[in-house]
Amino acid sequence: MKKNLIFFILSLFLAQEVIAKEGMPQLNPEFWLSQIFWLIIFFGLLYFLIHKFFSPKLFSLIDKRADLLRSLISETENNKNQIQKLDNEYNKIIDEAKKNSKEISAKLNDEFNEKISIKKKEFENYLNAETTKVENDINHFKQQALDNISEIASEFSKELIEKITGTKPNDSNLKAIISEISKKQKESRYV
Amino acid sequence: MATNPMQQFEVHKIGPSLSINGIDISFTNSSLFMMISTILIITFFILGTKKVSIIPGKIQILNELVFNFISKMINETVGSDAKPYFPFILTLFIFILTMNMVGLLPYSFTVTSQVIITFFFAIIIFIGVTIVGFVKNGLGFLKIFVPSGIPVFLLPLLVVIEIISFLSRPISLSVRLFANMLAGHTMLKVFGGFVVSLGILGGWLPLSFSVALTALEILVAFLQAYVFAVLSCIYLNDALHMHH
Repeated sequence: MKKNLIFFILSLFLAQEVIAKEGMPQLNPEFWLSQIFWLIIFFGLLYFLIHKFFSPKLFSLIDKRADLLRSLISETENNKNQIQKLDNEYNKIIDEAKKNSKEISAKLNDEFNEKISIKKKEFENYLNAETTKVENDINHFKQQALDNISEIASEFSKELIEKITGTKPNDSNLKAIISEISKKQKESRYV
Repeated sequence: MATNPMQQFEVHKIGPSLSINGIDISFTNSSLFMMISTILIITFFILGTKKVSIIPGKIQILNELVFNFISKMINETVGSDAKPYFPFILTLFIFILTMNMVGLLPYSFTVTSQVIITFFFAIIIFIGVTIVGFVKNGLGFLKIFVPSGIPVFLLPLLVVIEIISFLSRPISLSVRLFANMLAGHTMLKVFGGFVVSLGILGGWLPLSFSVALTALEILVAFLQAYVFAVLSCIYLNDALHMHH
């Protein structure tokens, strides 16, 4: 509208006689039929080419692309579901493994504690046995030592008496006296 | 140099006179620019569809852009049942757009500034839409002249108005495009004339106007092609779906 107004105002400034003389060439019907003829030819040609070649080619491609996109979207959706499923399975396996590992760990711990207690008991038994054995040995050696002390004392006393008196004392009497003394000593020790 | 701004719209013969049964079909400057536009469009589509691939090239993207633009426009205005008319609407839009754009080049000719051209397009659409309407709806198509929900006593008046409105469609459609092209190009020519007549000292102002007007005309060239195609779709929609 504005454009037409400007055009009108500007046209007032133009040489009026020129416009009046020339008028609008579009309204001259001299070449109307010729223009329509060529318009039909070129428009018809263009329509034919677009309808028969360009349009089907591009539309089939656009449809093909849409199908491809649809299939890719569907594939992605499937993969996503598959991943979700695998993730769930993985989590399930991990949970199960954690549970199993806890159970196994507890079981192994029990077994280990049991073994440790058995070994401890065995070791204690062995230690008791060894202690008893050693104590017995000590007692035995003690007894043996005590027995030998009588003999040594008898021998020593015999030699001492012989040196002091110059006579050989009777062995049996000497042994009886020593054993009597040692017996008394033992008794006094235990009393 | 021609000072008459209307001279640019003059049609003149190029080459020998041609006639069929006494009808002059001589090749004119108008026909030449129709041909140039057609060649440009065909080249554009050939380059775009030569090696079509799922991942498109630059020209294929432009081709698809035009296809999707028109396809979307038809879907929005008419609906999905208008797919058979897609090639016609696309041809109409791209042909008018190219002729408008080519007309903006210096020393070229604007085919769409010829009223007979725009009127021929409009009358083809008018006749086509009327045929589609009768084929699709039979005589029920005449209901288009009878608006629904109107008091009976107003009907005779409204039916006459609807008939006049329907018959004036080709005139409004053709004159809209023709007048826009005529006004725009005349203004460009007038401002161009001012640049020359005012010379190097005073010509800068009209020159800057010319530059701004050229940008505006590019917009108008696209807009008018779009409006022509959209109105054609709306008329088609009336014939296919009978909104009255």
